[in-house]
Amino acid sequence: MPRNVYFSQGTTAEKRLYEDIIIESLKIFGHDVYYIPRKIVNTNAIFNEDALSEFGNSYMIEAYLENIDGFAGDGDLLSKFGVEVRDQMNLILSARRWEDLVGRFSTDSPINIARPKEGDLIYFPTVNGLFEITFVEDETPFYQLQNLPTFKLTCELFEYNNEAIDTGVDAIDKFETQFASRTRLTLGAGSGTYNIGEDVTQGLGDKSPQTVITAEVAGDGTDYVDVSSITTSFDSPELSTQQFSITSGSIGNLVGAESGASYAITGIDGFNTIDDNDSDAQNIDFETIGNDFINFEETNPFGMPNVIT
Amino acid sequence: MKKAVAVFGTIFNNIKIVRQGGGMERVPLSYGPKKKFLARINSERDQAEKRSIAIKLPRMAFEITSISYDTAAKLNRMNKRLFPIEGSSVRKNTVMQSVPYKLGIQLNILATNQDDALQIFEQILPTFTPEYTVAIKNMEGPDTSTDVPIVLNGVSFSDDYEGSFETRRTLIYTLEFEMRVRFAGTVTEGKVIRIVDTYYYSRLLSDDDSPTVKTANPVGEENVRIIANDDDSPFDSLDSPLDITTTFGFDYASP
Repeated sequence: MPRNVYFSQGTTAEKRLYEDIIIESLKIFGHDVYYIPRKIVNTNAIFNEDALSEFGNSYMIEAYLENIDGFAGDGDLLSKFGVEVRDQMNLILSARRWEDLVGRFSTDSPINIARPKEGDLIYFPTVNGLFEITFVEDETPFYQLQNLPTFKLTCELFEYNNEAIDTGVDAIDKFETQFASRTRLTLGAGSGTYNIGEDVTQGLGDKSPQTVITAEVAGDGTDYVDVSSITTSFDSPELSTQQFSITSGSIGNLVGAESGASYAITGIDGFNTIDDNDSDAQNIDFETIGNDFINFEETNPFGMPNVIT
Repeated sequence: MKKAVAVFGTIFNNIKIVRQGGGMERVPLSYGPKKKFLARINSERDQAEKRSIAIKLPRMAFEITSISYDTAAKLNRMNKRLFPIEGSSVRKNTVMQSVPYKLGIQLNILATNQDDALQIFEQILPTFTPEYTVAIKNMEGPDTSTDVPIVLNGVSFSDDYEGSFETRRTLIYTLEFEMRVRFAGTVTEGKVIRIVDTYYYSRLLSDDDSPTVKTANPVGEENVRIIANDDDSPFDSLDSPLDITTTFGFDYASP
C-alpha cells in the first residue's frame, strides 16, 4: 500500500532546517578540530597497505565529542612494547559542513568519495591528541528526513609510523618533529642557520634528473643538525631508497629550503639518536652495557652501529 | 641474567627498515618488563605536553619467558678454574664449575605494516641456523670468554585484521629463542699448596709385618718435607714431579 501523500517525509526546506539546527548545535556544543587528509605516497599492492603516507593539509571544522565521561577504549596500558595509549572517541560532524570545509578541497585523493575517510587524521587541540579515523558511520541518524545529515567518526589515537606531517599548523607539525626517527648529520664548512621544522635537501650525483634527498630539521646543536622523515626523489622507475651522503665531489651540501643555510655533511649517525625521542627505546643502553660483555671478534650479524664519518 | 639481557639486546639493537621512496630507520628495541611508575613517567619525560599519540611503530621488545636447567650441558661439578692474582704467587682465585641453564627469550615485533614487520623478521631469520653463537666475556669468571649459543626455536605471528572497523589491527611477529647461559659461583681466593710432607716406609718389611709408616717424627730420617721458597713459583712443569732430586721451585727442609 502506498504511503500517505499528505504527510511529507522531508522537503528540501525541512532538510536544510534540520541540517542548520545540527550545525548550530555543533557550533555551540562542539570543539574545533583539524581534519587532516592522508596522502598515500606509495602503495604496497601485494600486502594491500600504504607503504608510505604523508599528511600535508589540515582543515578546521567543528565537531561534537560524543564521549562525555572521558575517552572510550582501553586507556593507558603497559604492554611489552612500552606504554600504549588506547584512547578512542566518537565525533559527530555535519555532512554539509564537512563538504564545505574539507571535501571540496580533497581533489588530489585517488579515492574521491564524498565523506570523511578511514585513515585520515583528526587533531583535537583540547586534548592535544592526534587521532586516526577508524570508521565512519554515515547512516546515523537513518533517513529521518530522507537524508543523512551527519557523519559519526570513530577515532583512536594515532599509531605514528614515521609519516611526514607538514600541514602548516605548528601544533600538528610538531608531532613529526617530536616523534619521527632522527638522523644526526655532522656539519662541516658552510654558512647560515637552519630553522627547526624546515625542509633540507641534498643533491646526489650529476645525473639528470638529479636524485635529491629531502628531510625535515628536527633539532640542532653546535656542529650538527638532526633530521627526520627522510624522503628521496624518484630517480628511476624503481623508487630510490638512497640516503644522505657525505659531501664530496658531485654530492652536494645540505641546503635549507627556508633559511638558505648550506653546510657540507661530514658525518651521518642514525644510531645514537634512536633513544632521543623515544622514551621506551633502549638501543643505546644495550649497546653501551652489552659491549662490556659481548665479544664481537667478528661483527654483529645485523651490522655494527654504523656511524659514517 | 643482566649480562644475558644486555647481550641479547645488543645483537638486535641495530635492525633497520627501509621504505621505498622514504628513508631508512632503525627499529627501537626495549626490554619488555618495566617498573610501571617509571614507564608511565618516562613516557612523558621528554614532552612538554601530555603524550598525544598511541605508540610509535614499528618497534621490538623482548623478555625472558623461562629458565630451565640444561642437563645436556652438565659437566663434572668438581672442575674448577684457577686464575692468578696479580702480585701473589701463593694465592689463586678459584671458580668452581659453572652450571648450565637455558633461558627462554621471546622477541616480539610490532608493526602497523606487514612490509615493515617482514623486513625486520627476514633480517633476523637467516642469521639463526638455527643457532647463532656469541662469545660473552667474564661469564664463568674473570678473563673468560664463553661461547653462548642463541637458538631460534620457533616463530609465529598474529594478524587480527578481521573484525569490526572500530578495533585496531595488531600485527605481531614472535620469535622464541633459547639462550644457553652458564652461571658460575663466587670467585674465592685459595692458597696454593706450598708444603708437602712425604712419608716413606721406614724399612723393608718382612712378609709377616704389616706396613708401617713412621709418623711420630714426620720430618726426619727417611721422611721428607718439601717447602716452596717464598719468591718462587711452586709450579714447574718442566720437572718430573717424581724426580725429587730436583728442587723444581722447592727447598728441602732439614730433617
